[in-house]
Amino acid sequence: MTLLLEMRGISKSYPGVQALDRVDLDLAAGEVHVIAGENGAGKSTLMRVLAGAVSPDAGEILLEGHPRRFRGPRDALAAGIAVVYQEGSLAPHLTVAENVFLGREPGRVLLDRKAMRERTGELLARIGGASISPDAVVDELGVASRQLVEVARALGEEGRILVLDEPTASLTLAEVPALFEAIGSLRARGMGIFYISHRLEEFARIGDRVTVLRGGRRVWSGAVQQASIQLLVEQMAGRSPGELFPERAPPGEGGAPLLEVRGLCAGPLVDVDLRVGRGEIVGVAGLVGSGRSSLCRALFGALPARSGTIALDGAPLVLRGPADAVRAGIGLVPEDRQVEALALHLGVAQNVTLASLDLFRRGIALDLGRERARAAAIAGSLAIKHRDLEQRVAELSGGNQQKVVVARWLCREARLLVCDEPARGIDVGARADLFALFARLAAEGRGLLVVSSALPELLGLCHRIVVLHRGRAVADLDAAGADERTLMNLMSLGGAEIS
Amino acid sequence: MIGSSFRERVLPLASLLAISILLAIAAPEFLSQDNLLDVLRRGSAVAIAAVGMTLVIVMGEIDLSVGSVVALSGVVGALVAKAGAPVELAIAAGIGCGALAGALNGLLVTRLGISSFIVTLGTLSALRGLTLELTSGVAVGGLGESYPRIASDVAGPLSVPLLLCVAVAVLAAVLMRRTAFGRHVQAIGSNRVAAELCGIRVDRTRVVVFTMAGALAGLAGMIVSAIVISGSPTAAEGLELDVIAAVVIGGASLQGGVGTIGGSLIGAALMQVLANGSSLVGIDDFIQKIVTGGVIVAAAAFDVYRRRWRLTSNQ
Repeated sequence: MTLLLEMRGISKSYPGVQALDRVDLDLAAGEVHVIAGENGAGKSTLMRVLAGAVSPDAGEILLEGHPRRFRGPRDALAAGIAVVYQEGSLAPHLTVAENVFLGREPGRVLLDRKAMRERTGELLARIGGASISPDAVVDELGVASRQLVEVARALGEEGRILVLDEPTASLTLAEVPALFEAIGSLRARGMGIFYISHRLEEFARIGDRVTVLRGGRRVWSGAVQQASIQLLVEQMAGRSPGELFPERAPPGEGGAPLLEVRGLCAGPLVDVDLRVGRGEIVGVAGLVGSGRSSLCRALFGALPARSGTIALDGAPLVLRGPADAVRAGIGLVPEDRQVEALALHLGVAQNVTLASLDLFRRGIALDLGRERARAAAIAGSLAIKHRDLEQRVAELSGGNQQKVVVARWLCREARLLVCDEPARGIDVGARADLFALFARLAAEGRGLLVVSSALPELLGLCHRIVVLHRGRAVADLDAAGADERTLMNLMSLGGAEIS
Repeated sequence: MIGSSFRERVLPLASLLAISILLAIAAPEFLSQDNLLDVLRRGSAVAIAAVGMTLVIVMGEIDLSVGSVVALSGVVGALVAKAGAPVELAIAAGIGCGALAGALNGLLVTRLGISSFIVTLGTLSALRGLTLELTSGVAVGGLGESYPRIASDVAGPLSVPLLLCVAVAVLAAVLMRRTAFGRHVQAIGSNRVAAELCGIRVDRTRVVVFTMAGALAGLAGMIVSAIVISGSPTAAEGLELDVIAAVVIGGASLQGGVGTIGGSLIGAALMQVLANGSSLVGIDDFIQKIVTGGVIVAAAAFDVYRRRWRLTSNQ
């Protein structure tokens, strides 16, 4: 293997933080090098240095043995370094071809649209995206297709090094194999690939080597065969985190019925029956498009039901909007906390109390003292790490932001928590924390409905798992007796094989 | 929150004081009672409209129709007074007319789902047209002696508009900081989807805020019309820009979620002092416009710089 790239002694500090501390990293041609680490470990900063977006305080970058200095992203791009950022950077209203050639359009005065289309088709075909039309408007593509377009654009025709920042975070299980295939074919063409991810279980499937960063330093590096999940978790967290999942206690309060849904039809959902007992954690598994998120939204009144009944604690609910659900004691932890849950300009306390301000009314004014005390108590009991209650939630880590969203519903004393992908984008250590919290809430007699595309999560956390397939609930399993294979089968085939 | 918003407001406040002191030295008549009375009286109308605009901008919306609403309210108030109604009724009619215009903005924005920029660009033009139509383009004059009462002097530099402005600002500040309604407004501006999913009645709140902003523009309109003792259909043209500038100079973000009543008051005062000072030291109108434009851009640039600094210091 020839070394494509060497980064030596890279350091970068920001006021008050040593983001990178003498990090060494290299990459061979035809290699997939996985970079792991918790949020704030320095992965993104390191990749930004490589992309020329951040200039390091010290250290050097060698490309095929020659030292290079990048003054900006254009330099890195010209050197064949392509980065696909997590947030996505496509212009949604332009076509695939227009996006792929954005900033380097062929043609002198007028665009050579024909060449753009043809070359886009070739680029996409190379990475297994032949089915994507170069003329499609990006807005209309699914997440997985968009990602391939991002890769095609980043690589262009001359890319030699590809950086993928958490590419599977927004994909469903069914979409992952296609991405891995694309990565595999790029590797076979001799390209070097950095692969940043939180999902430890992916590493063995996709990677050749793993490097773990923690607190801006390289703490472990080795072949993927030596990197057991246990070892990675320990290296990332800097401590042994114990079990990721809490001890599974039997449902609190004997699982007396809390939520009862019958014949629910809403959006893609058809005739869904669902039951959540008090003290019970019920998982929902399903592919994208199976109606997972629609179920969450329908239960929260954010998606109108065509028919069916929803009862909470025996009392039938009429949900005309989220306000009705909130008043009934239902809380929603939505899929994308930054977009759908948090008021990022407001402080921790104000976010915690946002759904329950009516509880702190004194006359027409708010009793700010009582509000603060309540927020402080809940933030404390959930061990939310914050500087003070006025700290803006935008500054908190993902795990702590998620706890703020949960705290909001505890403040409201919600009886039922509906959680859509609650562990997405959260560190391993924080994930264990969150799951322990869920177990505690269940033990206190609350009911939880947890949607997740990570099957180990559902199997480890829930009492029961309901499987959705094309809008129908096709199975209701005891989690202790289920396994991933059974679930996958039900999710993709709807139990056609089994029944 | 108090600590940080205090820090955020230091620069506008310091520049206001610095400019006032410079002005007092360069043109001693700046501090004369007549001048102060006049500056504060005129500034109060802008500041009252800016209080309403602050709510709208913090909520993540914009209201471009302020100037037209000010003129319409003044004209309606004057017409009512001219018809022989007591001045109190005229004032109530002016404010009510502003509230109606605001409610119209709010309903168009929420019911039709059109951005407030477009809706209020439309009402900016339509309401001005309505005002001109009502008056055939001629100012409504010949009003009774009691008509200018809402703009009258009290004592020293104090006037009724100034007292009204202080009262409105205090009430609005309490509304924003101490009530669930104010918190909802801020949450909607910060993240409307999240606010909806918290069970907040988002559309209702938006209509109420536009209505309040309209009512305050109506009050400002009555003051403006009382100062000149007539209802002019061409009054307050371009006022929306002064009002928005005051709010932005005061540290509010046009993206929503950020902004304070106190900041907007300082912004309004800064604009007024700059205009008054320029004419006192003999800078002509044209140059004045250039200076004002520069101040608006500088204030926004400072805001961006401050935010970036805070972001990196928190990483």
